Amino acid sequence: MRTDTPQTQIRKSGVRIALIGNPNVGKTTLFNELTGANQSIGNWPGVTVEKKEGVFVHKGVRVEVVDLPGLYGFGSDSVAEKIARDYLINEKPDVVVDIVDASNLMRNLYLTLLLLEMDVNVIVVLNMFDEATKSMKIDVDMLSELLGVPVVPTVAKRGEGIGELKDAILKEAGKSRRSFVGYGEDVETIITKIEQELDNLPKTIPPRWVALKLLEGDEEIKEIVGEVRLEDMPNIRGDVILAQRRYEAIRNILRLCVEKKGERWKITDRIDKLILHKYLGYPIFLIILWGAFVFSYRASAPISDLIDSFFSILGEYSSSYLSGTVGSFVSGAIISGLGSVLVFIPPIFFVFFVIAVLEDTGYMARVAFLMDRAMGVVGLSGKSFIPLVLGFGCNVPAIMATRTIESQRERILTILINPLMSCSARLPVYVLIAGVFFRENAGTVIFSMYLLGILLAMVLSVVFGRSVLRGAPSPFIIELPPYRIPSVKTVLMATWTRGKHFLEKAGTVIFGVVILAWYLSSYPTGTIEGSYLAQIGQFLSPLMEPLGFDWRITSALLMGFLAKEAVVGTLGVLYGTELSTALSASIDPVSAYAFMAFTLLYVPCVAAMAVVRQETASWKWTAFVILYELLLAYTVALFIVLIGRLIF
Amino acid sequence: MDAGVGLMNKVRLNELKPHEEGVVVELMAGKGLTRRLCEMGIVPGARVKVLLIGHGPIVVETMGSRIAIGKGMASKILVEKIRK
Repeated sequence: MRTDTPQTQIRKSGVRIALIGNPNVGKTTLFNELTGANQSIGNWPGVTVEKKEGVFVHKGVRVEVVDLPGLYGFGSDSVAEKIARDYLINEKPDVVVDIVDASNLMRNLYLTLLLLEMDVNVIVVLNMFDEATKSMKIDVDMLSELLGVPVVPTVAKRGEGIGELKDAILKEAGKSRRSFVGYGEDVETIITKIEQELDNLPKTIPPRWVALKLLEGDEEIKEIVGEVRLEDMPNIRGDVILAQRRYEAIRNILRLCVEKKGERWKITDRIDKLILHKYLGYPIFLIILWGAFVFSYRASAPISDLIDSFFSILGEYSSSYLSGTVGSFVSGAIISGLGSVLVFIPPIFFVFFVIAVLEDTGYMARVAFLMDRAMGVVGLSGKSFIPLVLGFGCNVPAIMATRTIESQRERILTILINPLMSCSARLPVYVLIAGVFFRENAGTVIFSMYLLGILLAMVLSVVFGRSVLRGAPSPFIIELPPYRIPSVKTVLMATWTRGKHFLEKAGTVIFGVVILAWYLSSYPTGTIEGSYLAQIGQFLSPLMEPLGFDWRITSALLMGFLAKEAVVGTLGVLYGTELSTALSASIDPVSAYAFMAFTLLYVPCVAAMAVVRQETASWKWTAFVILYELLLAYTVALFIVLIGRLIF
Repeated sequence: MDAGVGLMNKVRLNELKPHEEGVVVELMAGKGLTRRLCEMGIVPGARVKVLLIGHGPIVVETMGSRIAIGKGMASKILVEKIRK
């Protein structure tokens, strides 16, 4: 035992740790087990990569946990990987907990070796240890000795080994451990030579790591330290050689501490034969997708309706008790504002729930595999498919689901076209208009709206991909994890943290706009007909006249900015009770169809916009979405009217 | 040496049929892509087995994991086919 001075210091200032690991190793589950509900979710400064932080107290010591993005390595060309490496090098957390899948040490320890090179204080967690022991025997102590760092086996989803891990974290904090794996004499000579050339390196950056990065040809490091020229620098591909030597080192370690006794992939391979089947895979996918869709919207609709009616009753109730401006503000702004935020909660939570289940089982990665080719046609990869499909339900969770797309370019592109997927809130408008104007063909007309949205999304994906978001499509490579039974706790936690994040961020924006809308629609006269909203509608109607829209339709569209459901409600107020008769008297079928298309295409609702801003971390892209959609809506509606007038 | 025989067996990864195996010989990719392949276990010397071929991407087994790779990427991986 050493002196307890570092330990006393730690007790005062607390401990900072970082979690790191490959995707699909149960990192999130472990994070949840460590921190419980004490966690917050946000973005890393300036970028759109999710940042999760949490806190726990163990034996009187406060431990702050940062969950780094799931990754395979530390390149400077990937945003997430650069964040992680900058964090480790610059912020120097006291302990870095490296979570590895105990059944797949060969590949997972590669990241561990990269961490050791960075001179960070590593604890290796062998997660899903129970699953691993079914197919192999692991000598944990031997592994710890060979790696030169503590190794803790855990089964995070059952909370096993968490106490031991917390003990190990406290014990390791404050120590500075140096351990690394040798690359063989020939490579080590080169590393030493490069290290000697690096004289003016800041003390915080380990020279061996810089030497290795230079050997790998890392662009960022090259820029920082300049090209290091060695006279007898052998002409080798440093990146490949180092990778080979790392795997060799891992193989040598595993030979001494792992004994294989079975095959773990049997079941997964058998399921994949069906799920990924060239032809059968697609109908199976459609059934799963349809099921997920129906479930999340059927399950949420009654709750949403309940919230909706609760708030309208509350609104009526309050307006009968309170009068004048106060009453109008309470019922029209506070209550209906709160209501319009809360109505979004059930579909959002259910969609997040379904996503979490599909992710946790391992099916999500298979969907990307199945759809990669089709999405490639419009310049996207398989990973963009699910977020686009989710848009048919609600664009808000759909846009948030783009977080799984690593390539920033493809992620922004997927966000930009997402509002063109006709969300369920636009359906009431289609149902109303199609019912009034296209009775026998109402179904076909409604379906044509969905098709129009998809078609335009495809076209614009190609257009944007070749103009504002130029760049090569990212190469497709994705790990297919073994199928697992989802853990209830992980799924519920994922649903909750994502949903809470939406409430906090988007909720405030939506609420503000609702209050603004109340003001515009009830001032200066107190009635909607004489309100600022109606005035703006009348002011804009010359612009909308070529489309055949009168000021009432224009005002309704303005309110639709809030939530597309509001379009029907506003029309009801402005035209009075005999809505269908009044509507058919004021516009013709061609304009009615144009009105449907306009509703489909013009500005996403305020919640979707808030989330576009949140996810792109850019007002520029938010403004871009609004502008292109307005332009698109107007152009398409005008086109429909012009062509329609020619034919009919 | 036995370069003639070796060359005859050298194929692109996307040319292997399901259940065929090979040893990675060369990655004909840029720096970023090479790094990503290495990190995921596809390095020269590694044994890979094609499990499935889809419409575009393929699934290979390597280093105890299952990796899906796009066709374009797979065509940049040269392997020495193992004959059984």
